[in-house]
Amino acid sequence: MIHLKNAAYRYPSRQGTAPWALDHIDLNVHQGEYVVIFGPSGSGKSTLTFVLNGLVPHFFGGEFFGEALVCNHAVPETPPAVLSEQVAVVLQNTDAYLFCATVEAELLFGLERSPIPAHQYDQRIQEILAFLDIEHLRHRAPHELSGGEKHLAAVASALCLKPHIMILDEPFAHLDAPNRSRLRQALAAVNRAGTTVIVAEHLVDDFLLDVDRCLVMEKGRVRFDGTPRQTLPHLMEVGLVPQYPQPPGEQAPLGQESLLKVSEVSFYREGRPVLDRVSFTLRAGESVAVTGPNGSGKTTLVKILGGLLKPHEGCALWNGRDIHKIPPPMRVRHVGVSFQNPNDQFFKVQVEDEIWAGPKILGKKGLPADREWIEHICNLFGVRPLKEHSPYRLSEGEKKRVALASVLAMKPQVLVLDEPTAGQDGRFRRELAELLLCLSKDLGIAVVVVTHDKDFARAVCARRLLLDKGRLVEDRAMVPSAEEV
Amino acid sequence: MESVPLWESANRLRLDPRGRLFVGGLFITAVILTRTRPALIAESLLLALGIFGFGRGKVRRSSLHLIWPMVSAVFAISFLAFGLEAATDLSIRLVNLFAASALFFQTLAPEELAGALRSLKVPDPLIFILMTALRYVPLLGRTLRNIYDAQTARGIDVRLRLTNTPRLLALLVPLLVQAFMLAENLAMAMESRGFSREAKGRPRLGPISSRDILFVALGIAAFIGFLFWERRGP
Repeated sequence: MIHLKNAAYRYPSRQGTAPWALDHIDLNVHQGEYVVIFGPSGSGKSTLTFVLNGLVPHFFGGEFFGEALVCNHAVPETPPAVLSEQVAVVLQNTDAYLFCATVEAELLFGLERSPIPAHQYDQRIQEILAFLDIEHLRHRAPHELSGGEKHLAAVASALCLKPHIMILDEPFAHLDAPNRSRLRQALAAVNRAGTTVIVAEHLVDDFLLDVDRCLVMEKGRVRFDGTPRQTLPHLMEVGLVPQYPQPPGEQAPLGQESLLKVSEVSFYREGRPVLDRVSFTLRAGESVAVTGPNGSGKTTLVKILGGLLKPHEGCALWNGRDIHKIPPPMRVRHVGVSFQNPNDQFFKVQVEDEIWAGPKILGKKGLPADREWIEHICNLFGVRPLKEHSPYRLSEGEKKRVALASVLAMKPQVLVLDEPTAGQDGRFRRELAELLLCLSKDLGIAVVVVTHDKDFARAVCARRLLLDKGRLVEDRAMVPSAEEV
Repeated sequence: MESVPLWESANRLRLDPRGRLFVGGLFITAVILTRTRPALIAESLLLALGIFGFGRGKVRRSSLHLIWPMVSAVFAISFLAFGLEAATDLSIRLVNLFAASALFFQTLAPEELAGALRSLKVPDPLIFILMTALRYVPLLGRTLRNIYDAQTARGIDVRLRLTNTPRLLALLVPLLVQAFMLAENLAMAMESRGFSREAKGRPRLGPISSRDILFVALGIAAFIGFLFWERRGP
């Protein structure tokens, strides 16, 4: 079904010769196999999936060497449009992948470009939606769906042509546990129906139990090819299974006074409570995980803590003052928030300017920047060697470090992080855990982490707040055990 | 009560999308051709009635809030250039144009609009561009909101104030970069999903019924009647 022999590829580059994105690899995949390609960011796993549907080299250009046969088509001679009849690819960014107005239209898009007669469209759509148990999404707009639903809709649109091979690029990394489980079941069912399934992923999760074979990639090479049982040591070696520092069993002595007080906060959207009388306090040096399923109000709470939203009832106070009433540049000296996507922050040409952007604004308001502190943060986050780089050209982990350093440059006493590990590989998660422990233990900064990542939460936080349907249902010390976060 | 998209209400009346497209186009043309202030105000009242009357029809009144900065700018510039009367008329016309367009797009599902345009022999790539714009404008709106929050949360004051004008780059640069990234991802998705293959067997729209002909005839009569009333003076 798939045959690669000595396949090598490098992306086009303006600055001389680019390094090998795929470094002379051999691979054979047989019909009906379920294969996972693991690898850290930049290991070449996405590039490998792009070879299998012809985006490499036809879409990206660059230099391709060696043999690549997919469903008896020689990839260098076959454009993606031809391969797409037999090879369906679900890309990482489902917002871009689902470009039609409704889920039904997404499925029709593929069917209209296939040899399938028009009178069979409706039956085919019904079959696929029923197979994935998403008939109720048929007339919904893709942008209204949850992350898990978007992936299922994307899988449906890929499946409607009954491809021989289905390839998914990082489908699990951005989903919460219930959605991961839903997608896992769907992919297992697709594979049982005889379709070859190939998943490129850096998140190690329960779906490994369904898989026939694992590949571990590093620096463009396949360094391991074997059964899931034999994979774990290799995953640890490439840093995909993070080896976290010792959990903070004994919390460092906390400040006596509460820094931040959330009292009976409620927030409504379209008349429905998103947050319902939530109360807690936060002290200096404390590290708190905020957990809960999607839609439980976590992000709304983050925005209220950052003063970006005004609660409809109750109050969020900093030293007795409503946070949202404090002007933005001053507010960040108390509470800094780092959101999930670092690209939302970058607007300067160099990393150094990016980090100094906030402190310079404060300087103009008569609050001079603490140069020593900023230097310390730059060293701590390892961004000093990157200071002349463009923030947009950094790796995902580096971007995240720069984004965090630029928030911390304002010297906040509370740092709030919204899903800091989403889409990040194990190596970055371990590094971030160490950094956050250092911030709370050594520098006395209170850290609030909103996360679905139970292991990361256990590694970093000593206290857990559990939100469910907008209510704070649990506020207790984090227990370092196998409990569900 | 569960809200129902406006186009579903239109579907229940079994009006053909081509008819709705035509009458919507007539309405927007009427707004553009209107000259006198009483007629402009009459249009505003009609549109307000339409938008607020379809409150349960999910017309996104909140999206109309975004027009006020532009309307204010047009008013200020035309006031300085032409005086109060012209500025008032221009501003009302602009508001009517936005409101009429919003109402029009709410009466047609994007796929219906595509079907209607296709039956009018509009080339497929142009239809795809329009559909993609309709699909991604709300997404970019959400991205802008996220950028605003991310910048504010790190101390970059980007509130809509004159003193913050130089800092608007902190909103525009990330938005532009992310729009380009989205465009590249979209191109990859289109290529992988066989966009370059010719679409065949596309479901056609049904024949135009007498109900649609009556609807279009009423639209034309209202359009001519309105212009006649306006030209003769109320």
